[in-house]
Amino acid sequence: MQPQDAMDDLKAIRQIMERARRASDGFGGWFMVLWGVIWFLGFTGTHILLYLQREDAINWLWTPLNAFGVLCSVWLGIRMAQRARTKSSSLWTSILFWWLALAAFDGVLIWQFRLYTNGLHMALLIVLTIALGYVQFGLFTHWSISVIGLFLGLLAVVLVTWMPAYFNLGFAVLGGGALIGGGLWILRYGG
Amino acid sequence: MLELDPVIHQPTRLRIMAALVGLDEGDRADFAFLRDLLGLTDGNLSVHLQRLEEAGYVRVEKTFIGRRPKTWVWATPEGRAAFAAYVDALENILYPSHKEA
Repeated sequence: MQPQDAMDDLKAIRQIMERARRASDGFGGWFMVLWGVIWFLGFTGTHILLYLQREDAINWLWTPLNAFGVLCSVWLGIRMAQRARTKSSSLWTSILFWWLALAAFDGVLIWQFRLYTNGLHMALLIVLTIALGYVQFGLFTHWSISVIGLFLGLLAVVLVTWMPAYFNLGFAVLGGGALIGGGLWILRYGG
Repeated sequence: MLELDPVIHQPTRLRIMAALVGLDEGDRADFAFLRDLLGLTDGNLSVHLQRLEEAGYVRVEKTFIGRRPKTWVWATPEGRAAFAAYVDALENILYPSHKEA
């Protein structure tokens, strides 16, 4: 074999390996983009409603947004499980139920500890649970997702401790932005 | 002069192995995924997979998801090692002095 043939083969090998990796991974990117957009809209809306002293309307903002997010996630999860092209990507139904279990866990805590009486504490619990979920999820999939989870957790603690007035705006821009950016990065580079 | 593994050296089988090794260890690829990724026909892919399976480089498992048949394919540890050795051999052709050093 001539060096030029060896070089061509190595180039082809790298391209196919990259395409296989990209085609098999990256499903999580759509979930992250979806929830990033929901966070951006929800937290921006919350900041504006608080500014306008319309706290009563915050639930009316988040309830349809969350319902939309859950419905879209279920649809994405079912679609991805049906179209699973690799064994690892067929785990999406299980992952979806795991996220729903985390949501139910938060629901019970909010209800039992009456966290709904303090919007900031309720938001903090939800955000920290999601951050933990991402850290755990990344441990089983790709480190980049754990990094995003860690960033969200630290962002929540920093904002609630030193800049509580900017918690919602900070999460809209930085939290939602991290999810959208991370999701697009995973879709582009295959997580 | 290094011998290139004749099983992997065949261009289609080399591409199949590259795609399978490109997945994380433990991951399996759907038959249709490989076919579409590599632009092969069902028959062509089957023939080459059979050859790779005979060499012990890949495993093929036929299952059902609901009522739909699904064929999973993955690289064995022997297949991954043979592929790594093949890539080493190619690099040795390109950079012989580098390898010796």
